Amino acid sequence: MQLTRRDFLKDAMFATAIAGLPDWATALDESPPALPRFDTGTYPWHWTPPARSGQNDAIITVLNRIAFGPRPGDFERVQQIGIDAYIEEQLAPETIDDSALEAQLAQRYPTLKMSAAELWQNYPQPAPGTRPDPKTTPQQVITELQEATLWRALFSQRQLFEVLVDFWSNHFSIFIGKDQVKWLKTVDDREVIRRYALGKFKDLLLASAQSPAMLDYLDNRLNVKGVPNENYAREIMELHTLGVDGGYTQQDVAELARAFTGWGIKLPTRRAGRLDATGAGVFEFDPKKHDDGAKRILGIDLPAGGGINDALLMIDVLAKHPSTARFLARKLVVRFVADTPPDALVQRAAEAFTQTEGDIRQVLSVILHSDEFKHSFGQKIKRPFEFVVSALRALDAQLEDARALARTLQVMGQGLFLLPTPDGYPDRGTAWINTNALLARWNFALQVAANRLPRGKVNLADAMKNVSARTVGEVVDFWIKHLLHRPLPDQDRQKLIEPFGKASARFEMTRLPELVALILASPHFQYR
Amino acid sequence: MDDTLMTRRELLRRTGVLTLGAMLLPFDLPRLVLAPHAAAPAGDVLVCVFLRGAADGLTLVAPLGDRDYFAARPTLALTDKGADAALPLDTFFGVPPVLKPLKEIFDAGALAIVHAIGSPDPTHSHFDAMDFMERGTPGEKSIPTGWIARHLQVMASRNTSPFRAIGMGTVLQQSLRGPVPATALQSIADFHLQGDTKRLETFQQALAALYSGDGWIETQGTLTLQTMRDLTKLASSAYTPANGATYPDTPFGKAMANVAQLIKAEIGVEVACVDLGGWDTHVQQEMQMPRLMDELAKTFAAFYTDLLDHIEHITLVTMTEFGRRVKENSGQGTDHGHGSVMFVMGGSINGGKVYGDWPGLAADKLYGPGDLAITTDFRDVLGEVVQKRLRNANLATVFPNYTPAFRGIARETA
Repeated sequence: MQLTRRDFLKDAMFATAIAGLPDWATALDESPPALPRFDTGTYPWHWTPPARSGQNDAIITVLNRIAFGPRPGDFERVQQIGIDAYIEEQLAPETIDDSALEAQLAQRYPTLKMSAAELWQNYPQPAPGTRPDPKTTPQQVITELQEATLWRALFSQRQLFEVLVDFWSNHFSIFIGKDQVKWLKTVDDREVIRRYALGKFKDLLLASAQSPAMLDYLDNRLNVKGVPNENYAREIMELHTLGVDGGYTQQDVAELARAFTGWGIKLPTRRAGRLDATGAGVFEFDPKKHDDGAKRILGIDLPAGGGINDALLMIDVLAKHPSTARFLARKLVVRFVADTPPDALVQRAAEAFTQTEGDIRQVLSVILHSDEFKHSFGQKIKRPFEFVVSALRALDAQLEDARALARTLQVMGQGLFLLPTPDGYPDRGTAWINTNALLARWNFALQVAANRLPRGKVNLADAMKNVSARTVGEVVDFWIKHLLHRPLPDQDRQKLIEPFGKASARFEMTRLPELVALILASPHFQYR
Repeated sequence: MDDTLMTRRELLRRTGVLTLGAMLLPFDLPRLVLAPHAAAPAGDVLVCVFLRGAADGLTLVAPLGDRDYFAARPTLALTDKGADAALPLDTFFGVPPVLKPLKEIFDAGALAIVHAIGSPDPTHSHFDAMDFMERGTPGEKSIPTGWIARHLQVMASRNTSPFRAIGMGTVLQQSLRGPVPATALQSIADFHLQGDTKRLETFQQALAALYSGDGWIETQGTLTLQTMRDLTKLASSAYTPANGATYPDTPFGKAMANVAQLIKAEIGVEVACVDLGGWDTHVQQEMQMPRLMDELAKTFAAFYTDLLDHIEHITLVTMTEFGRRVKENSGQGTDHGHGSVMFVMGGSINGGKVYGDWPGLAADKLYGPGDLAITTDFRDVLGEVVQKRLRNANLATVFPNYTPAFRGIARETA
């Protein structure tokens, strides 16, 4: 079944052989391990894998997957310290100094450190008909969280940590526009997602279940004795833990909903028209609203009188369930390795999950140190967030704020915290490459390269100040290296040269934005 | 305001005559001549509207003649008396007043309703249910293509228009995913490159070269460029809907206006998919549904009026992944259910009738945890539309392992 290395090389590499590696490209690894066969499914779910170019592929893969793409200098640094050392460094974010970014965030986005009560009090819902300063409305809270998310992805040194925050924000996806969530998601981001992103899954799951934002978003705060609301009970099993085929029934959903009755939030009160948010926005359990009868969930009998322990016990059961290990292992491998994940790696990651009682860092270590990961170039496509952030990182863009970027992501269909449904944005390329998506990407490439980004700029000439490239061929080669870090097959290189004249002709520097936009808009920059 | 309403009424009457008396009148509506793509089959244009989130069929089309309905919905049931009384469709069913524009099309004979319809798969998961429905294969995940994609595939058309299949929105609908490339489109007016116009032509040519391969990304890139070229012509002038139709100024309204414009441009549209989300009404259903129903009804009425001159050759179907629990919950909302309702609109539909056997809402008639049972498989209606209106008799490919039972909803194409 498995293709031999020889077959693979014949099919995938020699067919699109690279005519002469430029001297900056590392020669092909002498003995790559047997390559996993990435069967990306039947038509039309197959990519034409890009031509492989040797060790550069592994480095760029690591930088595109555990970081949001390389900044100038990142590629060379990983080349120097080695891939495994870089992975180890990123797996220990607490050892990476990020104080410069932290200082910026504190100054720019004061809401990040506020409690829900403070957010309610400081950013109240405007009375109908009034037009208060936009900086004091709930929209400001949303905007700051969106911008901070982009800011961290762009500038944090703890890149893998930010990638994981993105992964878990998406796994426990919450629509910030619903009901009270706008005052609650900031706390969820800080106290749930960021706090446990590299911790134990069980802690993350429990924190999410008791997160006021989640209790509000999936209606669990309205789930009361007698007339249960099944929304959260279903999604915690389907989306957060077991997976839809994880072996639960509608009866289990109904019974788990009963177990969750009485879980809620302390809400602000109104006295004489004035909002009092003191102590509000925290989890509370109301025994009066809890259905204290006996329950049977996933084959486990919960005797009557369990109170809050009914659901606490079930969270523990769900976190440790073998279906959860498989479901999360698979999702992480899809995230980091390939749209159609190699089964053997999923298996090893699931075993690591079980053996370490859901230690996320340990599971990641298995995935990131695997051969499947290092040899998976071309198996993932950037989603809009990764496309936008990686382009700005590659060009070392200087930004005054990230407001325009947050809007761009919305246009591209990946608005931050704006997915109304709880399933999270898809992580497969087929969902993100279509006519609409490509047009939006091309326009973003044109906008950035031509310095039309609102309150942001790039200095393309600056990137070239220490190089002597003068001819079209030299300048194109410089930018291929600078943005893609890997040589292109000769025919693809020619396609970048052609619009600017003969390779030996002098490059007209006023056309630099066009060249940069073209590389960012090309299929080559869409791979993650 | 009143004028438009009168116009629409008049137009509705006119279609009523046309649809019922087409044989008798000197009626010479040209077939849709798909100018640059004359190879398109002579079947209808299919518009598939997906109501995402599981729309409550018991509110959209209420079984007013079923006493158990009122018992199960103490706060949410439509009333059959007073100023807010439901508009009766027949002696049993009624629609909320906000759906009046739809009732007018129903009365004109161009809207059929199927009740207690859905997918037989028991899942209560939105995502699984949508997936099964859009693949057209309940309970079966091994077939990776969508039902519309398979229809297009077996039609062996020479229609190579990038607009043969359109999905409105940022993400292409699963029902369109398959070997025939489909175009995802958010807006006609915005579908172009932005920048220095002198340079954009070169840029487009360079992109065409870079995206010239036959991989997935490359194919999509080529399609994008082709779409852009064709839409530039359309977008150059503002679109004026015909017959005084006015679309709501909402993303759904705009998307449907775009679909109408593309159909009328005769550039090879065969199918279009449009989504309207927000139907997952676990709480405060009465705060959410009227707005959605208003948007739905006004948009459908505008689309119908706008395309009146082509309506004989257009079929619109609505789908939703499942209905909602019969008994309302403590938050004046409803949880996930099973059977729901489907609208089928078009000039060649045997409308003015609610189809489907009513299973009843008594406790012993309910499905699973207390849901409306299904008496019509959604593939029965879609299959009939595919065969009779889209002129594709190869239903075994479109809906594998299932033989649709026709209900007489659509007329055979001439």
